[in-house]
Amino acid sequence: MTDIIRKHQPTNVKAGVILSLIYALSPHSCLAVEAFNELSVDVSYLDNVGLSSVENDKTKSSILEVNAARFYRKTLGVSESVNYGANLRTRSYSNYPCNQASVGIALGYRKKLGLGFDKPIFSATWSGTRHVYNVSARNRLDSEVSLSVSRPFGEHWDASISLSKRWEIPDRINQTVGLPDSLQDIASNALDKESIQVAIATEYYASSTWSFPASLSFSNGDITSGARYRPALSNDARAISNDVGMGNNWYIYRYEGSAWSASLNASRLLSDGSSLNFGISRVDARSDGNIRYDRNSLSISWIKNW
Amino acid sequence: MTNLFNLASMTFVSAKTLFLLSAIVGSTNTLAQRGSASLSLTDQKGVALTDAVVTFSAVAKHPTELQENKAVIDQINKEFEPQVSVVQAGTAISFPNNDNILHHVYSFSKTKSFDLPLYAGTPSEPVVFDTPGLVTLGCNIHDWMRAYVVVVDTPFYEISNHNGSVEISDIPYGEYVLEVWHPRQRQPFKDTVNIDEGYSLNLEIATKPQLRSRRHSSGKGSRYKP
Repeated sequence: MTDIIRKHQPTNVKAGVILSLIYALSPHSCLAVEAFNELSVDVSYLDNVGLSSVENDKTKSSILEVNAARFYRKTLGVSESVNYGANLRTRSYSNYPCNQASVGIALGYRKKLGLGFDKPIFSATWSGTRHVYNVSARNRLDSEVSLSVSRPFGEHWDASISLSKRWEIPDRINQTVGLPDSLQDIASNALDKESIQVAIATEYYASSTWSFPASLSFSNGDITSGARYRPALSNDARAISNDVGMGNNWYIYRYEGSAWSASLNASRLLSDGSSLNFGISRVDARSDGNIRYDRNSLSISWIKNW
Repeated sequence: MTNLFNLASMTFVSAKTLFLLSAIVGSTNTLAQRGSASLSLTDQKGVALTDAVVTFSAVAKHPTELQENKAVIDQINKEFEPQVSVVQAGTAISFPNNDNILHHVYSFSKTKSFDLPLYAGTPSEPVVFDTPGLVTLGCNIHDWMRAYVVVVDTPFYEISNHNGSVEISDIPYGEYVLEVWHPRQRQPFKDTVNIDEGYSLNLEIATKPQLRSRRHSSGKGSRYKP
């Protein structure tokens, strides 16, 4: 009997911990839980969807994206809370064979360093997102952990800095069938990548309706580029696989390198509390072997929070 | 000796009578001589200025009774209601939380510093605002929540309505310091005025622009970053 109890004790303890955690995170457990909802519709135009380094291989496309999210914030104490929730997203391209649907979950911890509206807020977040494409070869799971500190500076400015690590784990589908023999030593799934990113962001509140968010980030690690086969591109690549969606002779190259990203937005608050947002952004990426590409985008989005 | 006593007695009576008479006359005079003040407030663009606090403080200070010793500042839909209050020193303000979530009301103002950590419902004890001055309130959970309490030591005060109008009646004639305060004013307004039968003033108060509340997110997902 004692043995049976001993045998089951760790399981019972684990189950108890899990049940306690579920109860603690349950939105109905107490007044300390707030719910947030967000719906957004985004239309954007990209001048290099496939991130090609070759001018002739650049694909331009417009994108329609719809995103819905529901998140909870549970207050743990005077300055501490946890956030958790899920989101659904669909993205369709006018001129690129990568329509997708995504479902994501996130869990975060937040601590305000002091009392008052202008005190810094430290946060740690983990998120996991499953992406499903119309081309199943691109299906993948993303995982990201990030640490960030944010705070307002006076009435007009908010600023934040964050450090994040990201993994992109594609489904185990052989993407290397038919690759030339000369590429067999780097033949593997090029979409299997990880990177680390540092980002700063700010927002300027100009009036009762307008604000201007901007961000700048630097990432280091694996970068991918899509293009037709060219020996010069494969020399520096760490991995290469077929780009099934784009067709024969199209490949995805993975390099080690870095990328700068910048965005500038204008946000107009609407009378119902939603906002209309206009943005431009640019990515400049460079492999360690000096393969370069860039991508520019324009976007307009409607975001409703409640 | 008796005559001397009678004389002294008569003098005392006369003085007493005179004092009573003057008191009656004075009181009648005070009752009769009460005026009103009417102000119309706009910003520099001519737009009616709502939620401006107008006070008249007598230059010749005299003790004033506390007219209303209780006030309420609610928390509804993650905002303070009202966002601007004016109370006499000594007023006890309660802060009921009418949301079904927790709030954490605080003030760092020198006039009144206090902290009501994480609560639902109505705190058992109201907060007494006993010193004149400005108190800024916040919520430590919802950083966009802001409210102001102007604590005064005069019974003659009012907050401008949506037309920017203020009407204060029953003010004894005399010399007063008129002060106008608004959350977005560029400079406080202060002037010495004489109150008589019907004092009126059209006043332009230069204000800073109203800024967009941090409550309204501009970025996708930014609300959910913990």
